Amino acid sequence: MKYIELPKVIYKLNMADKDANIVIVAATGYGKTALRDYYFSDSLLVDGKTLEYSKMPRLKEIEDDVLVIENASFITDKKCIERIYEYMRSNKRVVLCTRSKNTSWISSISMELDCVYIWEKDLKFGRDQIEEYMRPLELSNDTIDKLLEVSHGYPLAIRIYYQFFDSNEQLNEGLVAEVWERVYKHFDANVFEYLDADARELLLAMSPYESFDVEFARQIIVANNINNVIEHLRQVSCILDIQSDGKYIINKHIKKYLNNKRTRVYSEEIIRAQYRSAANYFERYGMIEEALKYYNYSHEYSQMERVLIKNTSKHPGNGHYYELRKYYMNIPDERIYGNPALMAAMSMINSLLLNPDESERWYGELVKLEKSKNISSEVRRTAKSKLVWLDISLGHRCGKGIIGIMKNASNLLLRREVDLPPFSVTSNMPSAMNGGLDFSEWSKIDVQLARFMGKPVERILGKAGKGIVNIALAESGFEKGSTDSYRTLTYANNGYFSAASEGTVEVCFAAIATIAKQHLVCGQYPTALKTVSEFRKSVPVDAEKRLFENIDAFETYLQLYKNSKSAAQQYLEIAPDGVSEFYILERFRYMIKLRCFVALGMNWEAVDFSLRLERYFTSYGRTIFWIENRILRAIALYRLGDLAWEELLETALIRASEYNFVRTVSLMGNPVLPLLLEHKSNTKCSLSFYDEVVAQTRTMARMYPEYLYYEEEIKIELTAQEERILGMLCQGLSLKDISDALGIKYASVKVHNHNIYQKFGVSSRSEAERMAVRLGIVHRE
Amino acid sequence: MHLKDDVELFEEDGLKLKCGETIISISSGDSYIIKRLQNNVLNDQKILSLVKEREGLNDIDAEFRMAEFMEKYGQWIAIDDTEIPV
Repeated sequence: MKYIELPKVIYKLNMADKDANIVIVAATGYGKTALRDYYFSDSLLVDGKTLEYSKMPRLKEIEDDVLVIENASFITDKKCIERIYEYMRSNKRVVLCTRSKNTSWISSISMELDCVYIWEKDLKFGRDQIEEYMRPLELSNDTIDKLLEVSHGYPLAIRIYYQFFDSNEQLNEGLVAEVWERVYKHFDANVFEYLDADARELLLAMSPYESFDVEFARQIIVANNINNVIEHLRQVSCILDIQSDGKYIINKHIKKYLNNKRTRVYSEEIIRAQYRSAANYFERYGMIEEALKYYNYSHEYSQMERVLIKNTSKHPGNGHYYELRKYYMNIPDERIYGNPALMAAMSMINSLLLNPDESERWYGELVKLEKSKNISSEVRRTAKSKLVWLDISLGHRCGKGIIGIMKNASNLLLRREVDLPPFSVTSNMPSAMNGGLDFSEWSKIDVQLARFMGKPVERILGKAGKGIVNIALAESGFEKGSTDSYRTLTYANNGYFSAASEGTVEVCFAAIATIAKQHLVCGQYPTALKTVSEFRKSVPVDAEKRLFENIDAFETYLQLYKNSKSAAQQYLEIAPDGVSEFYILERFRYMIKLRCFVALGMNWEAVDFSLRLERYFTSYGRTIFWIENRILRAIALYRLGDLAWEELLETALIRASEYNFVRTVSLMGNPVLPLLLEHKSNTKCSLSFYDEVVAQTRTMARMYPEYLYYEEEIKIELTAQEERILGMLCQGLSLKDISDALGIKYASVKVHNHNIYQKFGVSSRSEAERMAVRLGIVHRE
Repeated sequence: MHLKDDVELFEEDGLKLKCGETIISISSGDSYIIKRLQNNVLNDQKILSLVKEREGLNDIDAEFRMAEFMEKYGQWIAIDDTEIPV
C-alpha cells in the first residue's frame, strides 16, 4: 500500500543535515516501520530486542550510509550502547526507533549530538492524510470527517478501517467497536506479550483511573517493587507518561485497551475489591466525589450512604452538594426518611438548585421527624440541630426573621440542646453582605445593628463568623458610598486580620474584595489588582476549588475596568454554564460572565442570560445582584436600540435608592452614564440620590473610560455639514435657528436633517440624538 | 446613642416617633428604651444593662433584644460612630 507522506516528518527530514541522527519516538501502530521502509529502505537494519555485542559490526565494516536500529529502548548492554555512540558520532546517519522517550542513553546521546526527533504526534494522520490514504475507496467527505473523529488520527486504526471499507462495511458504532477490538489484538501481540508479570498487573490495575502515583498503586495491588516496574516501563515504552503533579498517566489508546482487557483477565470479585481499595484511598484523602464513584462501582452502597451522611457535616460551600447531587438524589426516599442528616441535606440541595418548594417539603418532613415520639434522643438532637442550621442557611428564605432565628439558635446552644454544623458565611464569594444570605436589609441600619449583633453572630457562626461583622460594615458603607475610604479600609482590615488569625480564608476574601474595590473607586487600579494577586498567593493550595474560581472571577471583574477584551474572552471559556443547569453558589461567576458578554458586545446573549439570572435574584431576595443585573441588561438593551432599557434602569434606581446603594450603580461607570443622563427627567427616585449616583458614575467613567466599552460595528459617515447640524439638533436648536446660525437656507437644513435620519435609520430627533451619543459623534455631559 | 436630632417623640394614642412626614408607633414594651434614648445619650453597655435589669435578661438575650429593637427603630437612632469596632 502507498506510504502517506506526513508534512511534519517531511519538514523535519528536509531541515536536518544529511548525516544528522534521527530518533523516532512513538507507540506501536504509529507507522514507525512504514516510515523506515519508505525513507531508509536501503539501510542496514538492526533489532534492539535481539542485539548482541559480539554480532555488532565495527564502524569501518559498515558500508551503508544509514543504520536503522529498531526497538532501541530495549538495548541495555553498555558495550552495545558504546558501539552505537561510535556510529552516531561518525559521518553515518543512525536512525533510532523507540517506543520510549525516557530511555536514558538515548536522551543523553541525543542531547550531545543534537538529534532530530520525530514524535508520535508528527506521525498522526490529519484529515488530508486520511483522505489520501482512502482515495482508492472514494469515500464521502462526511465519512472522512467522521473517520478522523473516531480514529483520532491513529494510523493503525485507519489501516484497519481501510480493510473494512474495502469489504464494503459501513462506518457505524458497531464498526468502530470492531476496529478497536482489532487494535487491541494488535496490542496483545505487540505490547502485552512483551511486558513482565509485574508490569502487566500494575497497568491493568491502574487502567481505570485518570492518573496514579506509587502510593495509590500500593493501595490497589500488593507489590513491593512498584517503583522499579514504573521506571522500567518508562525506559522501554511510552505507555507511561508523567504529569506536572508527579502522577503517572497511561497512554490514551493503551489505557482503553488495558481497561478492556482487565475485565477479561480479572474476575468480577477482584475488580470490585480493587475499586473498593481505590474508594478507601480517595475517601482518606477527602476526594469525596471520587470515593463515591468507586464505592458505587464496587456496589458498596452502605459505604456510599455513610460517606454522604458524613459529608452533611460540612457546609454547602465545602460539602460539594452540587457535585454530589446525583448521589444524594439517587438515595431512595425511604432511606432518607428517618435520617435527619440526609433529610437536611436534601432540603439544602434543593434550595441550592432553585427548587425551594422541594426544599421546604424536606424541611417539613424534618420538623415532623423532630416531633415524632418514636425516635431516639440522638436522632431528635440531630434533627433539632439540622433544623436550626437550615433556618439560618436556607437561601430561598431570603434571611427573613433572621434575628429571631439567631436568638433561638443562641439559646439552644447555650442550653446545649443542639450542635450546630459549620456555616458557609460567604460561600467563597467576595462578599460578606451578599454571601450565604443577603444582608441588604441590615445595611439600612448597619452601624446600629452591628453594635448588638456582632458578638452573637460570631458566637453562633463560630470560626466562620470571625471578622464578618467588620467586613459587612465595610462593605455596607462602601455600597452606600456613605463611609469614607479610611473608615472602609479600617473596617475591612480589622475584619481581615480577625478572620486571618482565628477565622477562615473565605471570609478573608470578602475583606480583600472590599479593599480592592475601595482602591478601584479611588483610582488606585494597580493597588486593587495587587491586593487580590497578593491574597491569592496567601491562600493555601488545598483551599476550596470554588474559592480559587471566585478569585479568578474577581480578577476578571477588575481587568474589565481596563477593557481587557482578552480577559473577557478567556473568562467566557471557563465561565460556568448557568443555562442547562443553574447553581446558586455560582452566582458571582454568573455575574462576571454577564459583564463579559456586555464587554464583548454580545448584547443578545447578555439579555438572555440576565433574564435567566433575574428569576433567581428575585425569588431569593438577592438585592445587590438584582440591581446590578437590571443595570447590565439595561446597558445591553440600550446598545441594541431597545427602548425597554429605560424601565429597567428606573426600577434598578428605585431599588438602589431604597437602600441608598449609590455605588452599586456608580461602579457600572461609563457604560451606564449615557443611560442615566438620558433618563434624568423621567426618574422618580429622589433627586439627591440621583445626583449622587451621577456624580460618582462620572468619576468612575473618567477613571475607567474603557470599562465594558464596546465599539459599535455600525459605521456611519456624515459630512462635515451634517455633523455640525446634528450637534445643533442635539443642543435643542430648531431648524430655523440652525439655518440662521449657519447662514444657509431653511430648505437645505431640512434636506441635511432628512439625510441624517436616513443614515441613522431613525425617524425622530430623540432617536437621532441617542444614536449620535451611542456612536460617539456627540458627547453628553 | 440617642434619637436623631430631627426625630420627635410624642404621645397620641400611645407613644409615637415622627421624622418629617413619617410617623411610627412605639410598641409598649419598647417605650422605656425610647424614652431613655430621648433624654440621655447612652453607650452600648448602659443600654444593655438597662434592658437586662428591666426585663431580667441574660447577656445574650439582652444583645438580641437590642438587635431586634434596632431592626425596628434603627433608622431613628443616631450612633456615635467614632469608634470602630474590632
